[in-house]
Amino acid sequence: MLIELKDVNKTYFGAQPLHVLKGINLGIERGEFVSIMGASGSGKSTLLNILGILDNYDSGEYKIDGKLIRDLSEAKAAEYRNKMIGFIFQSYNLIGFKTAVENVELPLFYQGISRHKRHTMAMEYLERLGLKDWAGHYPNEMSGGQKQRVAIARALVTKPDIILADEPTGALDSKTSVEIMDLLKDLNEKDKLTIIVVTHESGVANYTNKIIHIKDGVIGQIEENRAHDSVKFGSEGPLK
Amino acid sequence: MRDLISEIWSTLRQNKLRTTLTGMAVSWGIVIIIVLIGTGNGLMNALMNNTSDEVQKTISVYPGMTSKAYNGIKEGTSMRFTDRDLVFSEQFSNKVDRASGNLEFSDTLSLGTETVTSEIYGVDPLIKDIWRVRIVSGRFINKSDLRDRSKHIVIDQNVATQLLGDDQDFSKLLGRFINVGNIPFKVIGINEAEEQSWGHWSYIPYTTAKTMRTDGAWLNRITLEFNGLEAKAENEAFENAYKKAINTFHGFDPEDTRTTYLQNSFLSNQEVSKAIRIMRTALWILGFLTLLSGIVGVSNIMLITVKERIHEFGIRKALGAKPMSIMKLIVVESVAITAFFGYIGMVIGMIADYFLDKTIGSHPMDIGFMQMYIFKDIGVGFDVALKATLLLIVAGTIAGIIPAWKGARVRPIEALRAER
Repeated sequence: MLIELKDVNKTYFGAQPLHVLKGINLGIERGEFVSIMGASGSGKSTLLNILGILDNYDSGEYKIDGKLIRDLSEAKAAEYRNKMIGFIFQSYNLIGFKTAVENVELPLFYQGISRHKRHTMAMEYLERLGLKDWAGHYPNEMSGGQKQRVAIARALVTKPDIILADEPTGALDSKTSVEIMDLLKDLNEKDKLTIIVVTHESGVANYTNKIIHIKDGVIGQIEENRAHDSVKFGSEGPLK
Repeated sequence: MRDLISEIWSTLRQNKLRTTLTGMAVSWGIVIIIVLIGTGNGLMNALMNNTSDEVQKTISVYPGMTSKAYNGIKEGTSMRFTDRDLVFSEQFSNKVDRASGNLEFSDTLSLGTETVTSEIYGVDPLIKDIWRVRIVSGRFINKSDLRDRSKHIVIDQNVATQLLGDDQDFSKLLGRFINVGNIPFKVIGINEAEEQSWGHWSYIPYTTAKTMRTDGAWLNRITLEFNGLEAKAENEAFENAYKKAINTFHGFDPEDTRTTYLQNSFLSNQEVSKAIRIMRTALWILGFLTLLSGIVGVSNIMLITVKERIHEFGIRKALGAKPMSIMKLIVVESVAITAFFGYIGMVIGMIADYFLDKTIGSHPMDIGFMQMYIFKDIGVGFDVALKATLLLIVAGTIAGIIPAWKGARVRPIEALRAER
């Protein structure tokens, strides 16, 4: 089991304490392509933040590859994120004053890899994603689809255990969305990457092999989706 | 390091105007420091008459008058020093290494038909350091002149120019003979005369002066070279004991303090260096306060920068940046800004010092009865430049630390959620 969550609870203490995750139990195997689906406010973003070691949880256990992730120092958490997790965000989160290749190099920089080697590795991934000619361009010179592919290259370049994609198509038009989802599917099938997609769109979720429904802070139905027929394609439009 | 520099360069390029304006505050601070310390040094150099060498410990003893009748001696009787007092002074204490006298008179110097009236000082070689006589050509009276009673004379530039006629280079007089009264003396040295606008001072060996004053002139001064006596209290005790002893020697009231006037070079040097230390510290503090406003400016700008870049820091953290590396990024940026603009300020400050030195530093001020230098050799040394550089690096670090800590502390999810 690559990812193991046992009775994970999370409460936000504000003026009104908010119990967002109410005992999450979840297991994800290496090489799985799963989606976590839920409406806004269902706790899926919180779950994603915990999975990505961006946030702490109050009780329970979260293990990646048997390693317990709990009460880590900032520095340790950063190290784990760097080595084990690749992030793909809805808004790409590329650094605007860095070129495509510099953005892809960034996680390698934090691994202390030499300048030259970093560049070679980053170029390799950009080439795989068909962006070789765009390596020297800044994000604001690229289309949404290109930016997301740079972000995917950046997520892949450290060869992480888990790819976490948070609404990866949220800011893209439907044609580009299809391209990006096909790309993720391809990466899962050919490179055996473990990919977790968080989305509220059933069309996106339908690309994955397993759909985990989350509602009001608890895991609901877990749907095997090998046939990719959970949602009739086109019933909500191709993806939207 | 190269990565860090290119990171900082790319972010600084984002905000050229803001970076420049902030940097100028630092530049200005450093200009102020350098100019303040430079002119301060000029003031102190003028005060110390540009001599910073350790001066031999000496006490100059000048004769006075009795202030009361004592033992048949009337009030107002002059103290008269002779060679016997020199012998007495040397035997007075083992703290006294040597006692020497000055014999002063005025006479006419002449070369051909040109004549000048000058004060003639029969001196010991050590007077050069005590009076800070600056030789511009040749040399001062030395020990062998003293021993041989040489007819050697040191004259000042003004005397030399007057004897030669205006258009002549005074150094041509060196080695030539001039008459003192009607005795020929060889000119062995020429000293600077700028400090006093009138009055001519010429120096001959003390022993030679004595042979010229067979009528038994009194010594105008006795110079004691002493050793030990480190503390102020020790010096004062010594001086009091000496006064009593010499009064007794002359048959005066031992407690009469008006019979002699003592000037201790060691103590007055101490006073001057104390004053200079205080002044120097005050200048540094003033300069530092000015710099402080620059630092606060940089710190403020860094805070704004951090706030603006919080989202970027969130991305970096998600990708594996540790708090320390974010902190380093901000601190080094702050140091880079302060160091770069501080360096510019230092260069401007040094240029300003140079021009000040060439203007107010090179022209004596007329203060009515004489001309004098208020500033001399304005400028800062390499050590000050080095200290200022270090100060800048420290300042940059301090300016960066609070913003850096804020940047490093923010949690990645909050940073990612931040407005861009």
